[in-house]
Amino acid sequence: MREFFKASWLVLASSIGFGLLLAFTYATWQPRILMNQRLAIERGVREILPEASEIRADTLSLSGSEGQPEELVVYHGLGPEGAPVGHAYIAAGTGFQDRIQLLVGLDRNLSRYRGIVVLSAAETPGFGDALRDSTIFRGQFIGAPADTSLVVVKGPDSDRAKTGDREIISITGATITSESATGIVNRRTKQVRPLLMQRLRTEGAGGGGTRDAHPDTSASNAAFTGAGKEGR
Amino acid sequence: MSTVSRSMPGRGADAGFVQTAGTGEGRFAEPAAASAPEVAADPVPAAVSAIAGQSEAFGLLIRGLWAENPVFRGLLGMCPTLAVTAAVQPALTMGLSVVFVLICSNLMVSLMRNALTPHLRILMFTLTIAIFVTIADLFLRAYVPDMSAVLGPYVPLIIVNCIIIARAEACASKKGLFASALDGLGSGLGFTIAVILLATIREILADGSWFGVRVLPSWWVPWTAMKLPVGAFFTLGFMLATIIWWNSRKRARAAASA
Repeated sequence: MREFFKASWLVLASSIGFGLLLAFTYATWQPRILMNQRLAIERGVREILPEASEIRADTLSLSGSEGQPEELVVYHGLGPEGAPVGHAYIAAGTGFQDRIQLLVGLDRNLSRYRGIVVLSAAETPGFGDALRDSTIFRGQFIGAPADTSLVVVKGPDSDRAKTGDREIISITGATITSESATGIVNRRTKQVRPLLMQRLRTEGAGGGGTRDAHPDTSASNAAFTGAGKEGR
Repeated sequence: MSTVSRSMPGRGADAGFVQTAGTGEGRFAEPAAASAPEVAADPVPAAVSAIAGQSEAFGLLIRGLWAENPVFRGLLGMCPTLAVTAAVQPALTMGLSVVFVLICSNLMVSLMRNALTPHLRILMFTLTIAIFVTIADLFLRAYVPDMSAVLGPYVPLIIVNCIIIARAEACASKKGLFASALDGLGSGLGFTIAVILLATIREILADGSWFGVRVLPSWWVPWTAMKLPVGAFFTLGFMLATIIWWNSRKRARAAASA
């Protein structure tokens, strides 16, 4: 035993010391990190649903891949009268280089898309990063039908890109990124839309069923649903 | 197979970084056995010795900036050098993160240097580096979330950046706190200078801008390839060739004048 401690006291002492340092750092900065994530989502929801005066979060229970239950946060944009103006939810999947995370918006009737916002993507600089930087590709989702799968087509140039139809013209030089993003939107909407329709029929968007959505962000949901935009 | 020996700060010429030509594999040579007793036998008075020590520490700082720049002279830390230099802002953020991790890990390794045993050396270096990299990553996510998103996995990958473990091995595990801190600062700033130079060339040619501010006229056709990995390799190769050419020219002139 003495030999063991003689040989390993430095590792044991360092592990305890470093562990405490890391725990202190994590505890100090974690609220700020969670607030940054929440603000990024809030900015995205407000970009998709600019007319919403209040945003409320709700959870949907989905059956994820491999049959595992999955809790999904759905953000309901409410007008001044409290009536829903649209809904948004996070969709994620694999892109060309890295994971793509999108915020997808639907209109109040769940019939058409209100648009998409990129929360995180690290696609090829100069090509796939147009997913985040260019509004032409993302603009095609505005008004596109949500009751059918969107399809990616290759176009000669972006002039053909128009809103309101189910065709999404791919980003030049980034077909895989375009197909990945569109597939992510299609898959998530196919999961979410029927459940959301059912939920809205029974409870009404943002009504009695609305509750704190995410355990980690529940502390800051008050600001999310608050009236003021200032300071954000 | 021939070897190329480069002396590194904190080590004598007989204990430098030995790189095998052709393969590029390197190792640190064992320190000279006689180096430790030399200090005890030093007859120089304490005050003069302290001044000499400070001068040596500042020498470590200066050498890390250019003469023994980890990127241009040591060819260390190539992964972040190539990956995060598409624009100046992420390159600067990465450089400053490396400076923080280098100084902190050098200080910590220097503190524990007398307790380090050979079989625990690399384990303790890695543990120490991992802690400070995690702190740097958390800081970026808390205070610079946009830049943290741009850098992605490359900040956590500082853990395996060979500049940091090289400085821990070559200097911090043998020198005092002051010298180790200055060595970390010098090598970190040397890395930062290198990535900023690389990013400056790439961002100007790829976007016509520097630090996000337009510097080239609107008729400039962006060189998209400079944003891609090929642009990183091309620019680094061009810069290394220029430095090698400059140094050989300097050596030739010195030889001619002698």
